[in-house]
Amino acid sequence: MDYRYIAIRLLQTIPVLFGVSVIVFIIIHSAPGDPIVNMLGIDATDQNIAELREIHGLNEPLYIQYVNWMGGILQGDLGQSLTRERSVTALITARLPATLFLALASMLIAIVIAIPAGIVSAVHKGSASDYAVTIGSLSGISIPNFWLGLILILLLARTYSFLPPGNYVPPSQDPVAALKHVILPAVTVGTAFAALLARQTRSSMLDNLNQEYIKMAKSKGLSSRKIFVRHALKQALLPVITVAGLQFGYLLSATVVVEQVFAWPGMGRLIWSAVQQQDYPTVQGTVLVVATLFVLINLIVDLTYSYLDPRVSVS
Amino acid sequence: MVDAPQEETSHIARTEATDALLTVQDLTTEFATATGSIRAIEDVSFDVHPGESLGIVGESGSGKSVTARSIMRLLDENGRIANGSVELNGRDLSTMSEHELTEVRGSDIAMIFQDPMSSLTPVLTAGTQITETILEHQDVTKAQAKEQAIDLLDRVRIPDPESVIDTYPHQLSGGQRQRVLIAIAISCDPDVLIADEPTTALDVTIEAQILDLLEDLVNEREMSLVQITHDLGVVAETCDRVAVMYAGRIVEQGPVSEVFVEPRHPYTAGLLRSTPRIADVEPDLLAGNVPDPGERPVGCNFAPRCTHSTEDCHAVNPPLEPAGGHEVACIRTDDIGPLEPIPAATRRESTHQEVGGTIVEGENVRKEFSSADSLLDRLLPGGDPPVRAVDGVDLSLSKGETLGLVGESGSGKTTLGRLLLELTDRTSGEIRFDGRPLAEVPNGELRSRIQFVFQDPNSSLNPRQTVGKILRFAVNKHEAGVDVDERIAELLTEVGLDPETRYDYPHQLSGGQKQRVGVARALAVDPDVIVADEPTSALDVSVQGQLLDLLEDIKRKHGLSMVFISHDLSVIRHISDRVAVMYLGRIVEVNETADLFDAPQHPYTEALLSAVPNPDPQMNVARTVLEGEIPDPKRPPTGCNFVTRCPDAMPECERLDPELAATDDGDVACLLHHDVTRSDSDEAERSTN
Amino acid sequence: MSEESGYNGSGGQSADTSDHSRASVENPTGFQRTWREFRAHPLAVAGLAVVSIVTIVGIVTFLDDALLENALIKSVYYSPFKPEFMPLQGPSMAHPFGTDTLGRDVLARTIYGAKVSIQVALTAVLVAAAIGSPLGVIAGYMGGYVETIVMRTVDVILGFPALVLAIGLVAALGFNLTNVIIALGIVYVPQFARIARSTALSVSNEEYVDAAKALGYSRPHIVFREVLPNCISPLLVQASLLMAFAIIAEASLSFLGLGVQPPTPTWGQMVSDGSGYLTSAPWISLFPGAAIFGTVLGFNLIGDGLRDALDPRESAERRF
Repeated sequence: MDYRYIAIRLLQTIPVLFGVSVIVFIIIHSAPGDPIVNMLGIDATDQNIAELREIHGLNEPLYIQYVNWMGGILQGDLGQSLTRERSVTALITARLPATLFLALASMLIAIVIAIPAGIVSAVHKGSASDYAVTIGSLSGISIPNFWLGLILILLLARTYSFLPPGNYVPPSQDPVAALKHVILPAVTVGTAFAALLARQTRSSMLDNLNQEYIKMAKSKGLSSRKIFVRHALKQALLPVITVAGLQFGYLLSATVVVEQVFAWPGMGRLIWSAVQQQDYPTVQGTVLVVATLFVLINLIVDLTYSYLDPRVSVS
Repeated sequence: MVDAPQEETSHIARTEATDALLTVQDLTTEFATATGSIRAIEDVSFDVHPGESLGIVGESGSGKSVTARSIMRLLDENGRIANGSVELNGRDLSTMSEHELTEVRGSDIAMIFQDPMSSLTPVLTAGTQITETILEHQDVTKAQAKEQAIDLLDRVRIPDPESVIDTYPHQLSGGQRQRVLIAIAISCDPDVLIADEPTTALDVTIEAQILDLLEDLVNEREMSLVQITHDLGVVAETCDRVAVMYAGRIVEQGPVSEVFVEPRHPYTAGLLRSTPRIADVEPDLLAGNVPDPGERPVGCNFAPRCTHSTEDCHAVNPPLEPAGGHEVACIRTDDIGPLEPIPAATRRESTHQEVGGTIVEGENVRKEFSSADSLLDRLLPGGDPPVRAVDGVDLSLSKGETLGLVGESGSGKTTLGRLLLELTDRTSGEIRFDGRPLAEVPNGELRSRIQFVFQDPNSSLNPRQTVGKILRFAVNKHEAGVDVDERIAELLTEVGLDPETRYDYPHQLSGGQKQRVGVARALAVDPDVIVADEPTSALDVSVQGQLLDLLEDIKRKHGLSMVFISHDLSVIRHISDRVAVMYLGRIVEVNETADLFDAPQHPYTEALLSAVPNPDPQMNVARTVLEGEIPDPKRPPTGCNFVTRCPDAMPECERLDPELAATDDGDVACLLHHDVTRSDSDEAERSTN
Repeated sequence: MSEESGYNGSGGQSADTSDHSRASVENPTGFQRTWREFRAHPLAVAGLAVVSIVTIVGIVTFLDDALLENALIKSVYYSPFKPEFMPLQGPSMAHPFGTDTLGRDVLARTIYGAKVSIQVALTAVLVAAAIGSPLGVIAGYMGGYVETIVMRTVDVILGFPALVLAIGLVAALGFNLTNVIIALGIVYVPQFARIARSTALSVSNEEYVDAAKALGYSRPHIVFREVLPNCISPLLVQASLLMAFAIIAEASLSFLGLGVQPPTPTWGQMVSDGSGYLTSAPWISLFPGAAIFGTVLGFNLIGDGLRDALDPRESAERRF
């Protein structure tokens, strides 16, 4: 293990996280409209407004507000929701599992379908299956996920009643029902992800199969299967891992939209309703959490890649 | 250094009575392309007998690599054997199924590829890549295979084989990787070993090691070796028989001792005559260019360039037929008779110009490159030390002379060349131009008085600019008032190109033409000094000679001074007045060309000279093969830089670091010749790093 | 020195310097050659056709809306805004795409939606390219502190999942067309900067860049005349692919009600309007969604085709 490299990467992540928090803060505080006024309504007196502003600390200069906010975060306090009677942290804790469950299910479906498809299409380049995979993955990345979701609901839930149209059931409560309920949303989110992965796998495999060391392996008299598995596959999957990890951000974005379609009580829906209600502390907290999660996942993917690719980790 | 004829190698060429091991008959290979089918090689026939070494030699476009790959059936997807047969031990490889081939490859016939870095799978250890071959063809356990692998690594002279087993390819040096490839190839004791340019990507001293190794292995195992190369010297030194290929066909074939001494085909003779040699002869160049595979002429492929060709030569492709003891593909060979392989003329003394005062001078020049990737990498402790590319160099260039700068990888020669015109900023030390420190020379003046000719024709010209535009940029920088179009035409003509070339884009030109454009660009500002960085290394032999002649002509005509950087000693001999030999960032010897080549002082220079393969089979010297690798420039040895590999090292060489000092026979940095060591401040600086 | 061990018909190099036909001068990555390669892929051409149609519709509608107050569409067909028909009518000869909940013609609204989508996608991506590419090239060529600062900033923006950042930005700026363009532009700048930088990095290692330096050309000249022109190919491909993403992003924002607001018809919004009537009137969601799908597919096909045409070595060779 190259500890020095790990240390450098960790240290490089800190300014990014800092930057992320600053941007979240700035964005939210540039929003039009005074949230307090919106909250209290038109009849609010100036005094009410002033009091409430004081309570929420909105009179301090911006950088003080930032420091207070950051201080709170580092202690686990993300603020109070303006429109709901709960702390932002509580809201997030309640919603995050649903989103994570959906994201993981999507990823699983995508990986299981995409990687074999990509490999097959590369190995049988130019054949009918290659063509099918290529067309399929092009469609997959082009189709709007909310539209796909609606179509799936229309066909499988309404017309034919195969599967329930969303509605989250926690796996801890009832695993079977949880699976049934997550399939449609997961397929919706997972389709584009699968398409991307299939394309990446295919091109990575093809690059690999053209390399000189594959010819070398052939010259040793190794069977095609051995060459494929040992020499080509491992090498080809490395960039796919990176892409998969990086596209996790796409998954997080996608859940925002898809949760709407399937009435899935996750982070995406929370962000949306908070934006609609101008509940800025909540918007702030959720965006920050999602972004932080994303940055950390990127870091983990990076380190995993360096662990797996011998060329990277050695000092 | 005593010249001694090479000893007869122990595996004398077999008589014709023994059956051939590998018989290639009328082999023809085609590639399907967007523009139609291209025949890469045609009617190639040769035999390889047990225990003998056959060299297949040719320039690019000759089809030698395609031949090797056709034999092993390792062609790209769009290639196929259109005709002919390849018989190994009585079985025809050209018609076997893939499944059958997996049994033959690796165990009966094996191949070593050209570029060791791209031929080894990056994600598998060296050991795995060896053991899997063994396990594929032999019925042994994993542990036994590992034992064998360690043994093999030892045989290919890799130090510390037990730990190399677990290393990854990128952790090894070029020479080590090539040894691993060899270990893999011989692991199952094949009858035939095909080596495709095995040493082209390696430094000269490492090349010598590998060639030596191959020779030993071939003797020891009674293997047959087919060596593909463009280097005539390698063939002369290591092969019994040779097949010369030109434009996809074999033009001459036979024992090396005959073909290289009394060649009969005009191309073979032309090739031998135009190859730069270490001996003091002036190469005699071949006119014209090799035809592209799709554009081969009707009749003899070489006829358009042949000084002996007649009408009949353009009619039909001559077959290989016996003549004068070996085989030649030339209908006129009986009339022409044997040809002279070595040009008669010695280096023209008239090329010497008047050498004037010092024009460029360097004093204790240093350049260090940091090995850090990022800011943090630099700040955190524990990173790699910097690379000392140039480590305290003194040099001087006189007006009108050509100084050759020669060295292997890591020697710092390219970096030094770049420092002279501030393409790279130096870390410390002084460089003076016309007596003035570079800092005092205005940028505009510097840029118009000293120019650079680059190495890689595929990288030195902006692909999105026409030749005319490239030159226009150069001309505009020099004089504003001159008629640009006229000047461009003038420049192009001067470098031997048609003025119409100005409308071409770089990708439409050949390598040689691109290099000429590079020279034209350097000339555009009317400089006094030109630094040429390996300008011929990427070119074919026959084209190399043309470019070198061009440089000499231009130098003479404009009264230029030149620093010529190269790793190729034959080229350096041809063009330089004085030579400076570099090793690991330092100059180890400087002398007049003739003196340096005839009586080298520094052990490294000796080894370098003897390592260069000589195309004359009658003149081979016993090689001094250096042991070990070129040290890591980040961690040079204490004491003399060369101590780890020096055959004449003394005990004090490990403690004291010699300075470049003048002796009766030129400047040397070696304690064998004087006592001057590098100043104490150097030592102190080194010991604290 | 390496010899080709195979041939792929990439064309030999002319060994003869004396014969040049001026009429067929070619720039290696110039329009003609790229177009020729692009043309060879039927699907890529199909994509170009679809995108062209949508773009033309978009431009005409844009002009109609900006200069003629929609007189053209109203006279030739129906108004996208006025609820003048029977609501929830299925597709028919009079209304090929049917009518929506308020009695507006769906086809007319889909046509208008093209304007919004194309306007957003083209503007956002072009602006992002114009800002991000030079930044990236400069960062790549100059290295050092400049590179560190630019790339760290890029990293921060890339630290957000794209749509989440876009939502945050429009929430802060306000839900209208201009702000959607700004938001997406900000989200896409890092994409261009990243690719520009890595291309610039490898181009900077080419010898011709050094040659320019040896001639004494200034940094700005080298960056903009030598380096940048050689970085364009991957940026073009990226632009095309990002336009595809931009269309989906705009549609997603409108679907969520966080983009261009009603009564302006946008495809995403139309899909959302129809989501409550999936079984009874599926055409309301179906057609706008199909429009998104088709247009995005078109851009993706163009992007792939461009990538193949500009650097055939890079892409896995496709059959089409």
